[in-house]
Amino acid sequence: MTETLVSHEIGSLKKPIWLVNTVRNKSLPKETKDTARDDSAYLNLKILEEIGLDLVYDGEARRVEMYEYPIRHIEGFEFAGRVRSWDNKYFRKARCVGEVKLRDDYHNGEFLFLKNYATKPLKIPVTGPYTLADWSYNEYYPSREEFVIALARKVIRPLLRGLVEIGAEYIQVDEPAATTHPDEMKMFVEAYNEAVKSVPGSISVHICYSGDNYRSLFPHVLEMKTSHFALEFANRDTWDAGGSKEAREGYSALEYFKGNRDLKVGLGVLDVHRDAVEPPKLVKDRILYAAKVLGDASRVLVNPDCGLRTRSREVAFAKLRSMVEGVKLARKELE
Amino acid sequence: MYGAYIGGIFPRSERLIEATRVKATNLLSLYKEEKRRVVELQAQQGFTYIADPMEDWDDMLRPFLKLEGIQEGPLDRFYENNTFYRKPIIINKVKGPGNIASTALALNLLPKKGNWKASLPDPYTFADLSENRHYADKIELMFELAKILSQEVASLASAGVKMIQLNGPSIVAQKNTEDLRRIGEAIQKTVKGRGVETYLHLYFKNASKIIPKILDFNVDGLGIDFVNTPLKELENLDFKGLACGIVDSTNTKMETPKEIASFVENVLETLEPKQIYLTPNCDLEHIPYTFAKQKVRNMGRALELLRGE
Repeated sequence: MTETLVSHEIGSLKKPIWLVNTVRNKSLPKETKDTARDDSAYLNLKILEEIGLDLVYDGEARRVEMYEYPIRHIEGFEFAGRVRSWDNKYFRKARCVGEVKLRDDYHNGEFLFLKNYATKPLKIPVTGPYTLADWSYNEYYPSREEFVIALARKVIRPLLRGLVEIGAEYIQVDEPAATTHPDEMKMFVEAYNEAVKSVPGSISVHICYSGDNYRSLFPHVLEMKTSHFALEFANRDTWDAGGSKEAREGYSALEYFKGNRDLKVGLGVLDVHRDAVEPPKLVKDRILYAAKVLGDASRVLVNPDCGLRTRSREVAFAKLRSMVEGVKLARKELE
Repeated sequence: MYGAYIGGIFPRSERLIEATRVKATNLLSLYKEEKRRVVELQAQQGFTYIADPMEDWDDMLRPFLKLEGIQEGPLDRFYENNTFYRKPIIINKVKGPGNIASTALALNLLPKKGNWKASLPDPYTFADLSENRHYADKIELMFELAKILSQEVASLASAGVKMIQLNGPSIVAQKNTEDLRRIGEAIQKTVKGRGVETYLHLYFKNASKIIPKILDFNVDGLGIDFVNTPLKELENLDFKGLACGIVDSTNTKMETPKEIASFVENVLETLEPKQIYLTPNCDLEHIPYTFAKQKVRNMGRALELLRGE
């Protein structure tokens, strides 16, 4: 991928209602449900290609969500029950009660399916070891660190290697929990590096909704063996035009990356918790601002703040179209 | 000598989770039914104090968003948990009727003869979890909230509540000695002269650094999160009362009654508090319902062992 300002989606899209209804219908046979999943993955792939993203995938059409889906495929876990995220929103949380081990290469099937149809490079989102550990109860390992490192070595590393063996070139390790415990940054970085150790290919990390505007990432992340950091910024930014510091206040954390010339940033330019569609010109302003702060446009990739599953499909696709238009405007200006 | 209680929000049962998700028409009666069960569970264990399990509270501050001068803010992470609360935004002078907690809690479901207990945020934690757009600083806001909470405590006391648990996780991170002194004053304003036993609970992090600085706070005892605070770091400190939070509300791993009892005995021997209560380290809502119930039963069995029953 030699293009500048490489554009990509973070991962998830809202599932089509017909897929949800088919999967939930207990009277339907497995084959029917699998066909619905295939159709949905194919549809998402083709829409994302048509929108014009540089890297594409399937909107995580086959995954329940980013935690429960992988946990189902890892030995050593049992689901404990539901715990609250907020209000009446719950997630199914698992207990680690034995040694963790990859049960099956749980993303290979979806990748191989997409490989048959994709006309653009695929980028696979994979939930990272630190997040899997942080969102689980550890009843087995003597320490949290041992738990996290075991997940990195015994689960995520073989999973990534398996994906590379079948042709994956771009992998994104999702670590939304990374900055939850600022005291554990060292542990997070160590786990990430263990997970990607001697795995060839371009492996990036996605971190989002940092409570401290990414301050706690430094200096530890300088040690991370990652192609780029896909981060959220847009939700903290204004919609004012231009490249002033005030207009682009949501991007102040770029200052941390500025002096570290090797670090590339996946710039979150779409707020995934807002229906309003960012105009292409605003996307362009955000990109050019980042290029100016980082001193080099080749250090910038472009993405939404996070997975767009929080929005309707209509809004998500409109936002992505606008993002791609904004990238075109920025490329033109940079020429 | 040995007492026990639980505090804060108890997890919803699977049935209740489903009912809240679909906004069931019988939700209110379901809450009542589930609350009765958890009240009964506490009574069966021989706990000193019995509390409303607060399953209908979406977070510890939610009913207080009704206060004048407070606007409902965005969701924000609740400390370092994968749980979020609705942030209060302070937009004007805070005023309240003084009976929000006593109205929101189902005191009528508590046993007629039991000792009733209620949990409230301490004024500093309330201020720290809010976004202050009105007062000069967090300390000024804290004193205003102390006035409101003092009325809340009075109203709970007159309704028959005998013990107040003040939840103070934000105090644990406070390093400034002068601010800690002011926090102590605000807590005194909150509970002074109300005739209720008061315990200030410190949790989520190791509190050993600040405990020596707050031992003279005007409360009957401190609730210590022994999952995160090593006992050996508290040696030689003089505690009036101690709520011994050894049951881990953030992990499903079960402590056995024997383990709980022997830890409490160890605490008693090491720190020699005048009163000791056995408690979870924080609200049990961080683990699923069935695990929370089992932890409460294990606490009850540990209490029996300690009491030699």
